[in-house]
Formats: sequence, C-alpha cells, structure tokens
Amino acid sequence: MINKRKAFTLMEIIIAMALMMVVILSIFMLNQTSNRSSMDAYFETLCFSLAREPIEVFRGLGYETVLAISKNHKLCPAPYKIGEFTNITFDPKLALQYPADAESFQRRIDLTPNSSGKYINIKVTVAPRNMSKAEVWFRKESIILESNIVWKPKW
Amino acid sequence: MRLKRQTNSKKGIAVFFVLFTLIILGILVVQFHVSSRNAQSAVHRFQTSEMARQIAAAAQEEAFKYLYDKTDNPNSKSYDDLDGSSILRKIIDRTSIYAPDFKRTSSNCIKIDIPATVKMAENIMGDRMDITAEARIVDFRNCNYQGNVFYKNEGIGTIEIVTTAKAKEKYKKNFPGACTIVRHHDYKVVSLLSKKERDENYAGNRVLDYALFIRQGQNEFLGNSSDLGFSLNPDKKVQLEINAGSGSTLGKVHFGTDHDHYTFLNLSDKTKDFIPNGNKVIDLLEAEDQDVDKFLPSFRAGIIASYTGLYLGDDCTVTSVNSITGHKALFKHQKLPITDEHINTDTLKNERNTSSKNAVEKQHLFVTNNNYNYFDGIKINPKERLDEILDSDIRKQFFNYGYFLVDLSKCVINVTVKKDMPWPLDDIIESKDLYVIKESPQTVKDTLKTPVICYNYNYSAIFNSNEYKTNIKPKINYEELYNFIKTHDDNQTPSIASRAFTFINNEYSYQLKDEPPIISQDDFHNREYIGNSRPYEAQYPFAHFNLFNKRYVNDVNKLEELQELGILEKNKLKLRGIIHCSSDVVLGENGDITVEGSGVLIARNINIKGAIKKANKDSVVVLFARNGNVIINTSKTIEAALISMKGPDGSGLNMGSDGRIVVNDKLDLKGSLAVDYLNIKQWKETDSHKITYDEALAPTRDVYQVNIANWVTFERVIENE
Repeated sequence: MINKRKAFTLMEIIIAMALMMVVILSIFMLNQTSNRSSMDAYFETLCFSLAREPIEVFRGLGYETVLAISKNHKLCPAPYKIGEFTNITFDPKLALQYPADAESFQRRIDLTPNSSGKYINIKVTVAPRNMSKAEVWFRKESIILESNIVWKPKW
Repeated sequence: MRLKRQTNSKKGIAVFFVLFTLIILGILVVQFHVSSRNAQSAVHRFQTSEMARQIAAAAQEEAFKYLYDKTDNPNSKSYDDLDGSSILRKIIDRTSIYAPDFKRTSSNCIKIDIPATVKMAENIMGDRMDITAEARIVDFRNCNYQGNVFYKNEGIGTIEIVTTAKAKEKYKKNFPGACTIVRHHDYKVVSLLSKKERDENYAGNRVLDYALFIRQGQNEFLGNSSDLGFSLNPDKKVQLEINAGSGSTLGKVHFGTDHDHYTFLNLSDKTKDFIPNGNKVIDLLEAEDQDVDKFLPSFRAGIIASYTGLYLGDDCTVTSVNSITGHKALFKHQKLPITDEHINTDTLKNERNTSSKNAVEKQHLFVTNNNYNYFDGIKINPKERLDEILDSDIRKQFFNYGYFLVDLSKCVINVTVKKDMPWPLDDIIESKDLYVIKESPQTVKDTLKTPVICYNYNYSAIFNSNEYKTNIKPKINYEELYNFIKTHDDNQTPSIASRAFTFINNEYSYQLKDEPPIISQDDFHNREYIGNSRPYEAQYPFAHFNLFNKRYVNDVNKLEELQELGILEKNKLKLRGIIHCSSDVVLGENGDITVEGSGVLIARNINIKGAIKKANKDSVVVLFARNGNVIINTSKTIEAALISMKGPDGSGLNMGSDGRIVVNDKLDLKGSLAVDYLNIKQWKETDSHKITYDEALAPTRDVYQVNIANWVTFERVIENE
C-alpha cells in the first residue's frame, strides 16, 4: 500500500530555513545592539554615580578642608586620591560600599583652587579599567563631571 | 476503481510556522530594542540632568557667597549709590525684593553674578547653557517672640536663592536636562550704629554715641551722704582725658541717674566758661516807644519833669516838652552758672529767698572739696563745645539774669524853647527837637548812655546794684512787662521766656541745655523687661538676643570654639554681627590683635593684654563684658568700643548693675567706654588715661550688619526638561 501523504518538499524546507536564518540573524544583531545599549546605559549610570559621589563628599568637607587637601594630597580621605587614576575596589569590609560592577572603573579627582574667587573647581573623571567588563560594554572612554566648591562661613 | 487523489492539507505549513515564530520573535526583539533605546535615552537625560544639577548647586554656593560678600561691610559706600542698585541696601531696606507671597518675577529679585559657575559650565560643554541666579526676601519679622519691636530695619528674615541651569534653546534637543534649585537661608539684620539724632526708637547701640557712658553715674558718685557726693577725682591722683572728637558729631559724656535725681556739674569761677554761652548776654525782645511807656508809666513824666524849665544856655530855656519819640526797650537775657564760689561765699547767703537758697545748697554735686573739682578728675575736650558733649542727666544750675534796657540813642524830645531877647525885642518862642544823645545837656548825656536805664529784674539787682546808672528811675510796671514777654516771645524758645519769667517766682532753672534730655531713657533700646521698667535697667545695649549672629560660643573657659569657627585666628579677630560667648575671652595674650569686619563680641569678662587694631578704620568693633568686667592689662592703643554692663539672666528679668572697667595699666582707648560704674578709684595711678572718641562711631546714617546663615532651612530641586 502506497502512503499517499506527501511530506514537505525539500524546496519548502530550504526556503523556510533560509528565511528563518535571515530573520534570526537580524534579530540576533538587533538584540545584540540593544543589549549593548542597555549595558552601556547601565554602566553610564554607574559611572555618573561614581563621579558624583566624591563631589558631594568634598562639598560636605567644605572649602577650607578641600583647600588643605589640594595643597597636601595626603590629607585626602581614604578612598580618594587626588591627581591620579585610582581603581575602585569592592571590599565588603569597607564602610563605603560600591556595587560589584564598580570594580570595572577607575577614577581620578582633580582639584583646582581659585584663591581670588575663594572657590575650588573639582573635576572627577571616571573611566573603565583595562580588560574589565565595562571596557567591553561601555562605549565612552570616560565620564567627566565638574563642580565648584565655594567658601562658606562656618557659622 | 478510480483512485481518489487526496490533497495534503498540511502543504506549506512549515513556512507559516516559521513566519509566525519570526513575527513573535521580531515583536519581542523590537520591544527589547525600544526598551534599551529608552534606557539609553533615560541615561542621557540622567546624565544631562546630573550635570545641570551640579551646575545649579555650584551656582547656589556662588550666589550665597556673592550675597555674603556684598553684605559683609555695613559701611560699604555702595549703600549710598543713587541708582538704588546697592544689594546691601536692598536687603536692609527690603525695597523691591520683598515677596512674602513667594511670587517670583524678574523685577522683585536681585540678579546675582556667578562667573565661576559659568566658566565651569563652559569647560564642560561649551557655551550651551543658560545659568541664572537670583535672590529675594520671602519673610521678615521685625519683632521678637514677645512682640517687642526691633529698631527700624532690624529683624529676622528668610532669603530665597533660586538658581537655574538649562540648555540654550538651540541645544535643548541634545541636552534635555535642566535643573532649578531653590534654597532658603535665614538672615538677621542688626543695627550696629544709629544715626545721631533724637529718635523715639533708639537701637541697642545707643551707648556708642558716648565717649564715656556711666549708667550708674549718680549712684557711683553719690556716696553715702544724702546731700553731697564723691568727687570723680579720688584721693590719689587719677586723671582721665576725653577727646570727644572734632567733627559735627561729638562723642558725648553721660552720667546716668535714677528717677527724680539729677547729677550736677561742679564749676568754679575759673572754669565757669566751660559752659558755652553761659555768660553771654543774648537779645530776647524789643519794644517800641508806646510799649515802653506801658512798662515805665512814669518815664514820660520823668522826662517832662527833667526837661521843663531846663536852661539850655544862650538864654534858652525849655518851657514845655511836646513829644518824646524814638525810644526803644530791649530785653536781654543772661544765664550765669552757679559756681562753687557762689555756694561757699556770701553770695547765696545774701539771697533773700530761703527756699531758693536751700534748693541750691542741697543739690548732689560731684564735689564737696574745693581742692578737687570735676575737671580735675576728667578733662573733656574740646571744652568750648561742652554743651554738645555733656548729655541729658548732667545739669547745671544757673542764675538767670534778665535785663530791661531803654535805648534812647534815637530818642527825640520835641520841646518848646523860649529864648530871652533884650528889650524891646520880644522873646522868641520856638519848637525844637532835642536829640538826647548829642544835644541834651551834659548832665543828661551822662545818664543817657546806651542803655540809659538798666534794670535787672531779678536777683542780680541785689548783686549788681551799681548798674542803676541813671538818676531817672521810673518804677517798672512789672505786670505789663511780663505780659509783653509772654505775648511777644515767639522765638520758639519758651524756656528762655519762662526762665525770664521764673524770676517772679524766685525759681531757678537747672538744665544745661534748653531742650529736654536727648535720651528718653524709657525708650533707650525699646525693650521692656517684664515687670521691670526702671530706666537705668532699660538702658541695656545689644539686648535682643534674637539678633545675635552666634550665641553660647565658648561654653567652657577656652578659646577653641572661637578658633574652630574662624572667629579668632591667631592674632586676628573676625567679627560679623553680634557674637556671644558664655565664658571669658582673653585678647592679645600672644601679640597684638587685628580686628577684621564689624560687630560685637560679647563675653563674661574681657581681658585685654595687647593692642587692638582695626583693619578698616570705618569698621565698628565692640567688646562687651556682659556679665563681668573689662580688664585692661596693656598700655597699648585699644581701637574698640568697650562696654561693661551687667546683663539680664536667662529669664531676662534680673539685671545686674555693677559692670566695671578695671584699668591695671595706662588706658589708651580709641573708641568709647560704657560702664555701669567707672570705678575710677581702682584705676592705675597715672594722669595719662585717655579716651579718644572714634568718629567711625558717629555715622551719618544707620549702619546695619546683615548676617546670612550658612545653613539651608529649605531646599527644593526641580529637574525639568
């Protein structure tokens, strides 16, 4: 007895597979782009947070303390260093905690006092570390955030 | 048998499956893509917003400092800018920037320059941002919690600073983030100096008007005697020289009194000229001939009697007096200060009126011993302006002399003269004007000097009886005389008229000046202590603690807190407004002190061991021992106003009253001194203590210090796109 049911034709399968390959490839590429954008956005957010943090801390220290730090970098509080890139490390024992992904970044703080105007320009540069996850996903070379810390009376 | 061909109903279904799957996948991926794009866009907005927020925050700090700097110098000349652009003045006067309804318009604010922030923003993103900062006053209270009103523009308020950072219009698409920050700072306005003029509401700085202010002056020098007080000059020789200045406004000297008592100035005959104009005769009124006849009803008859039958020589004889015209009456006044000699000699013993005599003798004078008098203890310069310097409670008794003179220099007496002619000629009878000065007989001329008749219508008549210089002595109609004075004295100096008039009642006047005391003591600083309104207690400087910039600093006897706050830095004292310390303050222990800024440093005791120098000659520096003494342990120049007055306790009710200055070395003070007690007996024995009034304490306008608090009382961050 002859099975009269016909199977899919080879041609039919080939066309379907080709179509599927093209479309899936496109979808994959689109997905990859989206994924990269998401990660980029994520790291950029993290990056900005890391840049904003020392500005807020130094503003809290006040003009006179920051001025003293700008003259003597050794006075700078522990997690920060002036004038050089410093790796941000994740250490659960530290009082100041960062997300694990923050380890992908390094940060540089520059202080430029303006004695005549009695203010200090603080510039924070955050950039991905070499061979880090952020270097893969983060598109920009670095993020720079600036602010001025102005003299205030103490009372 | 015919085979039925079966068609495959599943033919091509694989393609549809694939297509369906792809569509689903496509939708998911597109959604994911859109989502990631949104995330990226959100991050971009977050990034730009964060940058805008940092810029706005920096602008806030710069704007605060701008306002702080602009209000730093209360003597700033910009205050008087005619265009009204002075920020200091706008804040003090609250003109055009007061918005209690929080409505923000471009006209009700101060536009603030923020160049550093603008420069910073340009560094980050070029010239793409609009950054603005403005300030306005949103609240102001001119009274304390008890409802007591502060002086004029004094008070506590809230200043609002608004900063905005946003992209310029053409960059908005690429830079969507924008931020507006609103912050409120409390601020205080306190009067450091007040314009030197009579004012019902005088500020708490009133004592700075005085080169020397002794709140308990009368008590200090009254002593135990009920009648007579101590000398300012104690047994050992201590001399204090006060230079009250040379400008239009002098530093005054004030000896405080209690109710119904007065402090009197002691003068000797040698020093009576220290009372300016005291001996000067001043014109009071004039009266024409008909009025003169009223005062002297017998004058006309006296002239007629004197001239009728008068032989004029050359066979001429006056047969009758037809008229008398052109004579004039002058009223003059002179006050002579009563001196020690008056009291100690027979002058007053000859006084007719016993009550007046007793009134003079029973006053509490500074001095009872003629060897010392007021001016031996304290020398005040310039002595010719003593009436401007001695203030209110220092009084002096005067003899008041009133003179009524009749001026006949232009008096014409028309007479009928008969000239005897030899027979057979008839006698000549003719009318003739006699000008009394030039043409009257010598006997008349002698008596018709100007004034021809001099009356002293008070006691001076007793002492100066030789001033009756004419033998024409018509009696005065006193009633007409005094009525005339009362009616015609329209020169707005009623005291002079009344003073002249008091002679009738045999009374003396006391005040050194004509006007009432300048200080209305009850209004001294416009503050009443509950249930305690005695004037000398109300005379308390800088009493409104609500207006203090800083309170209870230095709670322990150390200076660390002053140093930590930056008020005392090595040998610099930085003042701004009123700073209150709970404990003692020692200044100059490690070298001379330079004072920057203007303000008041209040402490329990203030011990000065070195020179105090003002960095700016116009600034106001006040060192105030509020519950202790000012102790001077240096002979170097102290450029400050020193106050030692006991203040209220925590309840504000119990006032001390024995703040003193302890002078252990030669005092060289350039400023002013205000104390409860001068305590001069305890001063170092030297004749070179010196107070030179600082003319910076006598400004032509009210001087206010504005203190803007660093602390933010309200903040709103508005991130907008």
